[in-house]
Amino acid sequence: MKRLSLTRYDFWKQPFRCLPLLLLPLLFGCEKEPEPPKPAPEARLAFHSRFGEAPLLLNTSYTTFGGIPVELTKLQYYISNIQLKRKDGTWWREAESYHLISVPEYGNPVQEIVLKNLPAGEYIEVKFGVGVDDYRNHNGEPTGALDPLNGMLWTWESGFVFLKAEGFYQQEQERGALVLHIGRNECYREVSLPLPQKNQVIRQGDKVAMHIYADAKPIFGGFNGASYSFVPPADAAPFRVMGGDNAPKVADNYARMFSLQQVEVE
Amino acid sequence: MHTWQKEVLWITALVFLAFSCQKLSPEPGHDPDPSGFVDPHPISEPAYIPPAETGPYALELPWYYSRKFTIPESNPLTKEGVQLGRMLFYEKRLSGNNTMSCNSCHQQKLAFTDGKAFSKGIAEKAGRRSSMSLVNLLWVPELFWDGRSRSLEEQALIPIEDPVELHQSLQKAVQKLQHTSFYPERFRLAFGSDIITAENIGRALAQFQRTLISSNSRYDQHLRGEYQLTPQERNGMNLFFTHPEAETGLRGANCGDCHGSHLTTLNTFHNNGLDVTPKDPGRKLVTQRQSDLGRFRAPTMRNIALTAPYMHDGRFTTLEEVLDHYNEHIQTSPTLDPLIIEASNEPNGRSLLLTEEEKKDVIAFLHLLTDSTFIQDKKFSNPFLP
Repeated sequence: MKRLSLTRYDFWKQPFRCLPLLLLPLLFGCEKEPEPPKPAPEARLAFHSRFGEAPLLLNTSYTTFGGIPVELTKLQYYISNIQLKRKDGTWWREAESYHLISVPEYGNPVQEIVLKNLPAGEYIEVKFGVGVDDYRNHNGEPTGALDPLNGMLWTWESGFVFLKAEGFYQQEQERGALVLHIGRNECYREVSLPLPQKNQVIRQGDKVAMHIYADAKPIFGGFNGASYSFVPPADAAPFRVMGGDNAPKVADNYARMFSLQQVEVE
Repeated sequence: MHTWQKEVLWITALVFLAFSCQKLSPEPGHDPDPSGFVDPHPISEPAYIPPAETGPYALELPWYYSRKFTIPESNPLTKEGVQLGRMLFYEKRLSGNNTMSCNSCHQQKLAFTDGKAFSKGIAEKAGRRSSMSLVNLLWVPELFWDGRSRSLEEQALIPIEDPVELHQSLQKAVQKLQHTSFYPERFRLAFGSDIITAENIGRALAQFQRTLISSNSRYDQHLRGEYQLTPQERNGMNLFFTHPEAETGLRGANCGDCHGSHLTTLNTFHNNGLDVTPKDPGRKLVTQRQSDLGRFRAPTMRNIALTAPYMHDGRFTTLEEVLDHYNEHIQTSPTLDPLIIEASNEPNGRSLLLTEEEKKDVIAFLHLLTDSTFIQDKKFSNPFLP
């Protein structure tokens, strides 16, 4: 039996074979249709959890600016009210903008926030809050990132914890517990990050990833201009910041966690 | 022969094959298992089999419960699926010698626990851990004490095969059910095929377990404005949820850090200071990580007064002992949770330091979480009793 080959194709003896040929004009016909409009841009903020130069892993020891070894068993905080500033000075604001960044127990510590419905345009700056704004801290539906099952609600305050950092510090041979639970309105902080290109053009159909380093190291202070610097208590006693004078100072520190590294456009 | 003629022949042959395959599948009522299976421990069929219920199953969730849960798209709740799951939950054919069912270690009157420190499997085999309460599992993403299962569908099959639980291969379980007069039809109603599979056993049990929602305790009634807390209960509730801050005089029993939200659990894993060297590695068995040594899932506190003894090994027989543990007897080890080390009600305190009165208040609140409606609800009881 002879194998069929295109060079020896005999149209009339093998009528089934010509079916695709008959369909070809249909395909070309489709191409003449006007091009569908490109979809809205897909933009996302990618939060890369870090400790200084290294990716942040839980249960792993790092050294603070003050030279104190610390390891975290938990780090989670709210990023809210994300806005992008346009070249003309106006703002795009994300609706119901509440996101919980939670360093995973294991695996790659990168968490992405998809910016729903960001229109095409020319942008120069990203801005967001760390924590939950005064209004939403005490009102509205506790759903999504604000779900109490996320363990960030202070029932007795009926307000949210903005940032939880838990773990241990090392002091000579002894290990002490470390708990930072920061909340309340006076600890809400806004962070502004200019985009690396002075004028970032985002077009229809673009896929945009804004890579933000979220560095836990500044939380513990010990750098120039730090509002607060962690000093281990004597005898490896537990260290805590919840309310009190230190909470807003730690908040000043956590406002310094973020830097915009790169904007990637596909 | 021309190539296209050959092709036509092939297609015709395939069509014939497809039709002949259909004839291989069993007709309704026909014994589908030609293997000649004989149950070595035959039991008679129940005198009463509940009439089949059909239609979509609507969960009733109170407004104050979280909406953070997912029901797999491949296993939506239906009345027929939930009912089948309930039948299987009470089905002794799922055990190797037909003497036990899920219900043996998860009894409704004890909020689906068994009252033992360690559960016992068939032939009195000693279990490894204490039976967990089956309540509000809809919200639990990682099941068992160590979180080794990530879906109720998967979880439900594990105790059937476990040698210290029901100790039966899934294949045997399927065969036994297939040989009954009523299960094939119930599986067909629920999943579209009367050929029973292990997967569909898991799906049915998962559906039933998702309906086990407790939401009519006095605490719920308080949340709905139908019950007035006593001063002791109110203080106990505030202490339960509050993380203490000695410097500002904020007192707390620090339970809510792990047993938070109205569900009284955040589904997180912790070493709660039971032993210097844990006998049971807990979550480390699942992750192989040293940081998970002695960590167990913080279970719900709902119906806690009914689910003694307490902890994964049932070492505490009363709630008073549990409170004493957290207040006075924490054992230090490298994976002990920092929240437990740190929390104290006195400045520079090295333990929780609640007063005796405060401990009693917390226990009063814990009793508020008992839901007598849940433990008597006919929806969850043995369906083979009329």
